[in-house]
Amino acid sequence: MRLRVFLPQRRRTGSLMLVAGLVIGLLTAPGQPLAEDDPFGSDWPEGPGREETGYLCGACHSLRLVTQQGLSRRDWDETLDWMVEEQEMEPLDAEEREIILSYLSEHFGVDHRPARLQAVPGFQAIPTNQ
Amino acid sequence: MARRMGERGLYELYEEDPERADYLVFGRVSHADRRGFLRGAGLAAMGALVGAGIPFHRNMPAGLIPAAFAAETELELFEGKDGLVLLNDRPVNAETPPHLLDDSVTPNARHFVRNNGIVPDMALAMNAEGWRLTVDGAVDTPLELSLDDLRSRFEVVKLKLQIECGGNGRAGFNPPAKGNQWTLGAVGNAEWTGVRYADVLKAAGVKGDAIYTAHYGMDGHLSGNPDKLPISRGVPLAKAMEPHSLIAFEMNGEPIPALNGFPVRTICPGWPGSTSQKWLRRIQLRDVVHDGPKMTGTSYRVPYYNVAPGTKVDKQDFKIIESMPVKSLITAPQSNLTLDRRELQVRGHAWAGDRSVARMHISVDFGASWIEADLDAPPNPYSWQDWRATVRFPEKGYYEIWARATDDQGHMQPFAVNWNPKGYLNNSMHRIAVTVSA
Repeated sequence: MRLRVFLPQRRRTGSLMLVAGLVIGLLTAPGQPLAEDDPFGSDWPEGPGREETGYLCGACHSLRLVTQQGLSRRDWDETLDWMVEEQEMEPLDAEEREIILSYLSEHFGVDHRPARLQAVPGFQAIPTNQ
Repeated sequence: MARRMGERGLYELYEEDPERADYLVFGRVSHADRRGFLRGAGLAAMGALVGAGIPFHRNMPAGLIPAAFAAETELELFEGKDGLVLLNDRPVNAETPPHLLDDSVTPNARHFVRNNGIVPDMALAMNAEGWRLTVDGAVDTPLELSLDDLRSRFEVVKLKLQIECGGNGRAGFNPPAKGNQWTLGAVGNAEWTGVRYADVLKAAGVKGDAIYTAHYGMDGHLSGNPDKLPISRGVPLAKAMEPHSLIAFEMNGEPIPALNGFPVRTICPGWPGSTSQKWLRRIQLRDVVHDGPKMTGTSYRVPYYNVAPGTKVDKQDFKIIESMPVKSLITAPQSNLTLDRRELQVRGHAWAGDRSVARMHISVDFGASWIEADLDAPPNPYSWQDWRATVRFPEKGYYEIWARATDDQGHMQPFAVNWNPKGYLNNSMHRIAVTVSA
């Protein structure tokens, strides 16, 4: 039986492109650290908790699901509960949870809207008192 | 080519020294008990290649190339879609920009994708051998039907049917709602071939206590837990018995594409797309409202009264969304057009859930005045309806074209829609920008 590995070539395939680069890079120059050796991509913001959050969320779903959101800390907290209660995520210890919750709230808070959405007519935000 | 090189290289590496290959490629170091051990970047990298997380990775033997590498991946299938915007690649969620929805019948390559779980192997392989549909629960005679059974035992019908994701337009809510941030294009109107849902239920014999259906698909949960369903929704018996609800096996005359539910799915047109279960394997009739994943809590539900933006609403106060509301799209021209004329042809589609669209109006002056568009009757109930209009601009400058449909019960699309916690049912008017340069 012949196995086949999928190594996409187009940029928009995001994380897979990165992994393809990683695989090829390792095969051609084992042991050399690579500039693109970043499993999360350039749109995953730098800051405390970057790796912990990336590995946790990215284990089951694309980080695109995270980077689309703009949620309050309370809503992120609820989302983590929901992931544990409904979606098979392993519970986090208090310290880990604090790191991840802070990262998500800091970078994907209510004022975070992906650039794509700002270009769609009819999707301008209505001011609220929240 | 990178792809060929990578392919060959990886196999050679695994053939020569599987454990070293694991270490090099995935940072995976074998345990003393010969189990592979993945962590950190290696686990994420392997997960990305497989297209899913690997929750049982500690059990995966060292030196094993995951079997999923052998199959087409979901993202590879997305490459076959034409111009869709990818919101999420694991699971695949992608919407169609309005100007690519101009066709009266949406081509397969331009139909949106909303997946909750992992596309099943049968769909990736596009081979329905061994597929059976189980119909059981509150029925006189449980059925096990093959594709041939469906085609031979029941009348085959073809209908153009609109399916819209319940969360289409979610990106317009403020405060933002959780979930995929759909803008305008999580809607499509393909021609579906299948058998009437009602005919299949009648063949099984619906018992008197049945009130709701439960749909079960073959898609896998993102966590990899084989005992967990990503989504299992259903509809009240009356909706299933409606003659335009289908058990479909072709989309625009072809097998249903893998991302859209191969080999068979329900189509419950005019209701949230999640009632049209993809990769269908079982329909159960129930004597209670179905309580599968994404039927309960706040999923595909809205408060039964209007709430202020940002309100926390008690789960008891949510009701299940049934028919989607009246809505329309401008599919030509594309937004942000610059024009050196004073006249423009505008066209698009309008739909209204279980109802039909009675009138279509267009404004070029921010809603101060309206002209009536020429609106076609639907080719069959539950198809969207084409409309067209000619608009005139009095002078040069910036304009917005607004489109507003009115359904056969007099409900109109609003300018602004009331907020709800999960960001469903945004049927506010579609607006496009036009600049008249001279």
